[in-house]
Amino acid sequence: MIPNYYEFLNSVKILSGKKALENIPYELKYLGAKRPIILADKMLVKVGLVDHLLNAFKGSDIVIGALYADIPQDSSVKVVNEIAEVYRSQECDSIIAIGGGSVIDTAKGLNIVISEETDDLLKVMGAEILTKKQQPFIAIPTTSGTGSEATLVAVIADKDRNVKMEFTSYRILPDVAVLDPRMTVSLPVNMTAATGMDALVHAIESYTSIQKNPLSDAYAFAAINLIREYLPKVIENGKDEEGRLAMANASLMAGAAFSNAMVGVIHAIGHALGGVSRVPHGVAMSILLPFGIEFNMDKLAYAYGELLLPIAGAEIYASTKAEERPRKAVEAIRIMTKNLKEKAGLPLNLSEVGVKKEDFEQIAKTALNDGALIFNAKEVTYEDIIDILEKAY
Amino acid sequence: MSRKYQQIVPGTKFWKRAISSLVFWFLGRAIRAAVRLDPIVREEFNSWNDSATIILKINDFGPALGLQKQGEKLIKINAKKAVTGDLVIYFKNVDTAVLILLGQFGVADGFAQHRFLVKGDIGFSLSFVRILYIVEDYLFPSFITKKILKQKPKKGSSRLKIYLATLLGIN
Repeated sequence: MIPNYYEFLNSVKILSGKKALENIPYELKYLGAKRPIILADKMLVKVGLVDHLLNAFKGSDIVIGALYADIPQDSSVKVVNEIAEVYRSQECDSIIAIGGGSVIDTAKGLNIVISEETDDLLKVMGAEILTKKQQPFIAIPTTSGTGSEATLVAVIADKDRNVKMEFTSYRILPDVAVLDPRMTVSLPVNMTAATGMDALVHAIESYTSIQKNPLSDAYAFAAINLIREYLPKVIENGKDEEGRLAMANASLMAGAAFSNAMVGVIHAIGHALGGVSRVPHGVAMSILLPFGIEFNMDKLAYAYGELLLPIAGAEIYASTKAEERPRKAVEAIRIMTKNLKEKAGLPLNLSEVGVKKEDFEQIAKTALNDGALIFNAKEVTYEDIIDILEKAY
Repeated sequence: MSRKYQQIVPGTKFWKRAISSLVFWFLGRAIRAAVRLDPIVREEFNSWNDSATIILKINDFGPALGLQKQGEKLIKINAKKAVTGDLVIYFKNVDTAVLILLGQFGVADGFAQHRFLVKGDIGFSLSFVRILYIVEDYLFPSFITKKILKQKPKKGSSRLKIYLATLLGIN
């Protein structure tokens, strides 16, 4: 089905494979840059991932203007402004972000501050309102993942004003995304599972969003196929480089899908769980996925039936009657999450992660004001969210 | 040479601009009436900060609607004179603005199709959109709302009261 109207953009150049990092100096030159700032977090420096990146510059004439490795788990405007000062004082001309979603989002925030020439991100908060050309920006994800290396969204918290600022703009897409298997081989098994499920939910929700289109569907379908095949492999053997690269690709493709089709109720509630009850995002996605699908089933059964193919594989798809496929898709997801519980300790219920029932009201109110909700095909009310939380408890 | 190449100045879409202006006028009154008469809309409105300002505009030079919370009331302001708003919904062109304003497709679909930009807090925009859904359900007949709303919203007043208040300017 072709939508009445859609827009699609994925302008990110993707470098994927062995020694991909070593092409970064060339890409910087291609972008007209020669003095990048590198953003990372302390853990990545500790485990040596930043060293891989720094070594990639050896033999080039690129001078690194600064390395900022103090980025906390959640992006904040205070950190963004601090880095902007470093960027300006060190006369940097480009940005390299190596890390997970919070590092890449911080880099996007930095790019907005520098390029829009503002010190107040609140003034440019919103959807599609950025007007200035951004600085050259290379993203190197170290999880598989948020897909932030291919998305037009950044979320930055202003803790002083107690506001979570959302920026949606094609302009904040990175110029280059670098998928190097060295970046994820040391990811612990529980994080591998959680971030893998995050990517899966991106793909599934984008496939069923009101913004879906043929191109985002193609990315989503391909991403789910890869996750089905390779997530179990990298859970068994984290050193499987082919598997890690496949998952990195899946995460990027799922990111590209949701960048162009957005997500829905699972993400809206997941964000609220993160904000109110500090549930890690990937864990929340994994727990909520089957319940979110069941909630949407009366409107989206046809889509979930189609998704049985990449979720469970060709044999199960072909041997399942058409009317049974939506239910079978949920079953396949429950089998997947049970396996991840056994192999990687990924929780199955909200009660396992310390969510309190007395917080349900706050979670539901927060979820109601999450931008993801508008893209859910089925209307979601406060009572619906409470119901989902009860079932997922 | 100068005769061969002449500049082309685009004309205006007079009727679409006129229709948009009229709908904005009507919509502004209807939203204010709903804030006054519908307790469900009122509850949503009460969650807004005082002096919260909403601007709906059609590109840089088209018709516009400005609303501002002042204490217990939602008042109309001159959108063209307002420097900015806490929430600015900016339709990219008058053609798609008319389609949305006349209920040919809904706000959610309009946003999904990138028909308008949103400047400001997305959470606040969703609160405003929930009020818009209720007002659309009051104003449009059911064969239109079936198409543009995912679900019939809960309402706390009657269509007759809202229409009367809108037409008579009781807000």
